Amino acid sequence: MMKTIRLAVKFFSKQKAANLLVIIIVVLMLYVTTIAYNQYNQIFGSYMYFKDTPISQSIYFMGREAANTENGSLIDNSYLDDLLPLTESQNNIAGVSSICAFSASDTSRDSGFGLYMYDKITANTLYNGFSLQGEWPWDLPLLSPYPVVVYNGAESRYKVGDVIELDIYAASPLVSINRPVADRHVILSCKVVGITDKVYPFAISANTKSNFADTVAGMFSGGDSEKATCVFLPYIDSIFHDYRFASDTMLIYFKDSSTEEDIRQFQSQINKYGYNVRGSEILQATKKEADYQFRKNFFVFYTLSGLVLVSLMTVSFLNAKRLTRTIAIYYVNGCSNYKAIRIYLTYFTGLYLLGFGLYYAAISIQHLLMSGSSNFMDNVRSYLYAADPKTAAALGLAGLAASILFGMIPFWLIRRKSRIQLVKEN
Amino acid sequence: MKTLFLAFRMEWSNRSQFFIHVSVLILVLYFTLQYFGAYYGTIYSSIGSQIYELSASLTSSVSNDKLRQIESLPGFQSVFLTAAETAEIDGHTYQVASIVGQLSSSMQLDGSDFSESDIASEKCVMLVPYAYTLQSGKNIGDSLTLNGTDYQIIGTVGESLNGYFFVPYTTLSKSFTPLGIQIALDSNKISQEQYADAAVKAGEILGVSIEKRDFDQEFSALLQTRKMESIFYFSLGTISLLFVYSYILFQRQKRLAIYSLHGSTFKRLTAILLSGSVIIFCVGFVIAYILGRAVNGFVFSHFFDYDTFALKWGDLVFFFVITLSIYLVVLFLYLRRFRRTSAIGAYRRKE
Repeated sequence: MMKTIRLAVKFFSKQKAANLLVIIIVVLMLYVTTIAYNQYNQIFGSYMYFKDTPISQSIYFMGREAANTENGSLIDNSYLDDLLPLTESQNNIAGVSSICAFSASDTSRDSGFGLYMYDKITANTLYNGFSLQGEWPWDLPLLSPYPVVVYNGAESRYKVGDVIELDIYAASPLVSINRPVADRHVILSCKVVGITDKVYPFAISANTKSNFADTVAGMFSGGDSEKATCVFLPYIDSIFHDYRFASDTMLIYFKDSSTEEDIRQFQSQINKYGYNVRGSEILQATKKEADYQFRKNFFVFYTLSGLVLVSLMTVSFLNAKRLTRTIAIYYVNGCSNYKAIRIYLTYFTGLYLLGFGLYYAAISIQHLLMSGSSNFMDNVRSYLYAADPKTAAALGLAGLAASILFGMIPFWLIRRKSRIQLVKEN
Repeated sequence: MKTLFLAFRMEWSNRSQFFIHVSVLILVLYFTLQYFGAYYGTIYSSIGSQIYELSASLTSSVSNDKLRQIESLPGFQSVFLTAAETAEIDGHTYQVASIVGQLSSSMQLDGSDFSESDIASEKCVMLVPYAYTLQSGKNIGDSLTLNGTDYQIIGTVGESLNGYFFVPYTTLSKSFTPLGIQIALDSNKISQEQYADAAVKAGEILGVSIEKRDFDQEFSALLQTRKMESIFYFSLGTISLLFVYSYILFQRQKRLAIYSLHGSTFKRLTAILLSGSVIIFCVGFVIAYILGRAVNGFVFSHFFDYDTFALKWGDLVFFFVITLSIYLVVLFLYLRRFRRTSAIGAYRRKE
């Protein structure tokens, strides 16, 4: 093995300029592949994420336009008094979403953070397929200390098992002239039962009001940044009943057994209360938008993959071909074909790993700089340079496998030639 | 001629290298041109298809005279007039508006538009938002009372105009108080220069100051959006070409050494390599460009209904000069190295 490595290093030390070019090509190939991969995810991400969730069997209710009320500033939610009992009277409705966002603080640590409260269906929808360390609070009984899941953000503030005394500032933007709701502090004892490494603290957007289907992105509005700590708590009706809705928008979920006709019939009953759209239509609109964006950006995927493939083939093939004379001398000196390939693979893998290390360091630094940049365009496009270790490793391995495959072509081409002939030709 | 003949012989005697060289060159140039062609095309079309929207608040009615002057401007598309009056129906607020000129496709008109006679006779007809018909249960053909007058619904408009009831502009001028005006000029119909001038002229008619659009500046700003990705992309194409080219040149040093030993001067060797490279590059560039046009024209526009490939002559010359220069820099570096080595050394040197 040591001999193989020594010979591989000898390959490496010869023609430093050519090796440097190979490393640069590997770095650039991985770079542009990451850009294409992230762009594809950006286009189809939200559709893929939500397509098989309860949103497909739901009605997105958006309420009335705020400007239509008498004083033009407060939302008239009197219709909720009729709408909510109507949803409860229907057997085929699985539930109505509860999505609230409050500011809260940990009384013992004197630190503030965002607190998000969801009902079980919405929580399972938003956190579809995410990774969790510990338990899922929505599967546990709602008893004090109340189970919460924490996203630690930039700090490692909480761990599973911690008990937090939360001071929650409960306020409802959805107030009416007829039924005003005063803001109040709620002190709640909570226990951290789970830690998540993914933040998705979205609230339903209060801005979208129309009978036309918007995309999923239009349904939700963004939450805190990736660096901030967030706590997620199951909705507790007995305490937060007055603050159940952060806006007059809500998702009405239907049971899987509900038919198209059931949903349409219910939709016709609630038309008088405000704007509403089928969740399936929103998903269709999301898909349509994603398809349009893909078509519009197809040239990026097409040309990037084309150029990466050409570069990959060229660099692997010519690099192996460049070394065939040395390999031929090894053959003459009694080296087997298997050993020659092993030396080449050790050399090329080393070269590739060097390129991969440079790529990962460079793209991580670039993402960090762009996401923290004050330049708006850099900030917006920083997602293109995000490479989490798993994705980067998968891309790197795919590239290495393809490079090795193309690098085997010269070995395959010379397999029938006599060793002397090889030395003479080269 | 002799130089060209020797260049040809050099390529002919290294046919497999020539094949690799030309194939990679064409493919790299093709994908690079395709990327930048589509990217530039997207920017050109986004600037080109823009509508110049000029908004102003009105203190009095816009005279028919002024509307005629605005209508005669090159690239004129429409005037959007809004009235001060709003209508409260079933808890929703609607603004009364009117459009002079061509309806945009985004209006999603269903039913019929106002006829010439509707406009001339200031008829009480109306286009309502589709969302309104869903909320109210009213349909095309039904009547709607506004400010004590009955209006007949003759069509519906789509989501982007959810808050408006449309009446003929003559009806709006007669029965309502005009509040605001938006003029839309379509750059697809006229040159960019005419388009920018027409907007300034429209501003003069309305007594509003309009700054002339600088298309070059807008193009540069849009070019910045993919700046980093384009740099990486261009670098990958360039370095790949350099790798192939340096490999080919390295492989040919033995032949060059033979020429040198037979008395060829360094100048002659440079001429042989330069003429061969430039010819190959020029032919490769032309093939790559034709391939790009063909793929976009036949494949993309047929299967994706989307063909934005657009490079102006200036852009093409720019790409040609830049890529050729990089190509020649490698040749120069190689020749410098070759000159420092003795012909015998170069002949004997294998790796």
